[in-house]
Amino acid sequence: MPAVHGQGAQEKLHRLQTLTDAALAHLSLDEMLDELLERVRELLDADTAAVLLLDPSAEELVATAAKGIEEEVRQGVRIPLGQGFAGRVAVSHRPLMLEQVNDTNVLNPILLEKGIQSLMGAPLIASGSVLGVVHVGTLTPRRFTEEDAELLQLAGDRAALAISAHLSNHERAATAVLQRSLLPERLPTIRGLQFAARYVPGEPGNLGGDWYDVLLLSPDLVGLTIGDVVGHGLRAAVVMGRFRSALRAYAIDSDDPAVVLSRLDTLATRFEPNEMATALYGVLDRTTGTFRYATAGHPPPVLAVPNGEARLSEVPTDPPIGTGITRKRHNHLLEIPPDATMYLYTDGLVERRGDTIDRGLARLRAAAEPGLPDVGCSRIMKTLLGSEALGDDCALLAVRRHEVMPAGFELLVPARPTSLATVRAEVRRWLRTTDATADDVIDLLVAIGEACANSIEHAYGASDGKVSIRARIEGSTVEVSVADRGTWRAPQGQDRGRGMTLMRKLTDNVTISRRPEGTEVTMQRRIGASESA
Amino acid sequence: MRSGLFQIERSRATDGGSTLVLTGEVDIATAELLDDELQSEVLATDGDVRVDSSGLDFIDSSALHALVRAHRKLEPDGRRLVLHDPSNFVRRVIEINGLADVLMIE
Repeated sequence: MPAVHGQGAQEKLHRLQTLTDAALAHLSLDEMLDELLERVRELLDADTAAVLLLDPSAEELVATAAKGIEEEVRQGVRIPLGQGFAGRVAVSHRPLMLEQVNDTNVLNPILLEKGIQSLMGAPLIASGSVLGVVHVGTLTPRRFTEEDAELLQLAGDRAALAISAHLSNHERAATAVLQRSLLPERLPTIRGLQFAARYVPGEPGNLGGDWYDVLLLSPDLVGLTIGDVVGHGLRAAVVMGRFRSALRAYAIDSDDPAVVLSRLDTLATRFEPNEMATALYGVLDRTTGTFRYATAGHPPPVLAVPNGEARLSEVPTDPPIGTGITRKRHNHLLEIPPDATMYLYTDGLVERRGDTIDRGLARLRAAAEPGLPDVGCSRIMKTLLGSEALGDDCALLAVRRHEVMPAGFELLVPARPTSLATVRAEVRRWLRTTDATADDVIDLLVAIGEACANSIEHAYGASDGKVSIRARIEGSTVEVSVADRGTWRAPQGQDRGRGMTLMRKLTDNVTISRRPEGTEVTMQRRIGASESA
Repeated sequence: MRSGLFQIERSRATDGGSTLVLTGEVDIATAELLDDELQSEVLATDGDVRVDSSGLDFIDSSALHALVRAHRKLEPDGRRLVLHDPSNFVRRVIEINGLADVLMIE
């Protein structure tokens, strides 16, 4: 084909148009590279054309598209950066030519097997960094010209543009999907606790390595995590996903937060040697409000209490995850009183360019309020972030402890056997508002019934004798007191003896207190699905 | 819920045995009634005394006492007190009292 080296302005224009054709932009990346290689091969009258792209490790080029040398792609040819022809083109950042191919100047055996004699390659450069290489080859020896090189570079630039747009779109989409799948869709419903959370990426659509998690460990224990993998984008999100899963697994095995973080650190150091994260993990007992936590280089919890200033729970932190420091990690205790709200967060919330972190923490303390976690989160996000574009991801997890209502009931009934049915009806009604299981209900009805029967038998016949029943629940423990006026009569006969036995068998604790004004029996029992444990 | 209501119905079977169908709740207000009925049943029949307890919503130790008294009266004659189809409530209270092996459950 004689026109290959054509000098005419007309010809040159045609070539440029062929490669910068806007129609190429409408093709998918694979189709676009195929079409571009086909046009390059024709324009340069070459026999083969191929594109190799830098893989995510940025250490090897991988054959991605090819014409006349399709084996490259099918066999997944990989060329280390700096080696072989393509590897040298990539590091030189400019077009290179090879007049005579032999086994000393190319690495890829397919080039030799195909009988390729001459090669010319150009780097694919976008925003100053190399994405890959495009090269063309001929089966007869050929000396490529400067003009050929310019043309190939033009094709390379066109491909780089498309690849760069494709990769960043692709990464954005993948990161968003990943992040959505990793952050809890819905925070769990736990009696006595309320949760809310916020997550905002550093740049819209460009998500990162922040995460939070709420784990139900037992009916009373809840694991709370907040963490921040160093870095941004898909890579940070993937590492975050691994850390999150590992932490969950360790949390099931140990209720010691320092142990959980130590194990995560060991895992990270061994299998993710280039990654680092800060994290805070703790176990909250919903009945007592005690939050036992360990921190790996993570900022401290903020506790907002009713009628008081929010305070930072400042404790010495242990090293971040991924540092491999085997020193023993420490647990800390934070008591969350009823109606207080604790906030866990990542540093994106308190760090601002040109401002100290202490000032950010002071702003957070000022904005943190007790009350509904969702309202609290909104207030903090509004106050600390406003409409400012973030430089970093930001995550916030709030948990509020509140008294469980209704707490119980009080009942005063005449000391007559017929009152027992009234007591049972009240107990049934009340237990329906709790976590009590069917067996809990049976056991408590019998135990309370026996205590009331004792009181009634004793006080029966006394003028206006009364029996009082007080019931309350704290956490998952039910406490019922039955009191009469008169002295406790030792159980008489076999049936009353059985009554005491039943009370002891059906509850966790029975206390009888005798006072001059009367006798009171107090029984405690844990209720809920796993009380048998 | 038939709170506090306790009912006993008697049905006599062809084999000389009989069944008492209990419904509602038995506590110290009603245990005496149950005890009376069981004792007269023990005397009135030659065979086993069957108690259908599927409709019992509550029993306490006084009810158990009545059942055990009847069992003791029957035992020397080689007769039995048979609890037919006990409700979950009855089953649990009997188990907790260690009476599951004493009273015959069917």
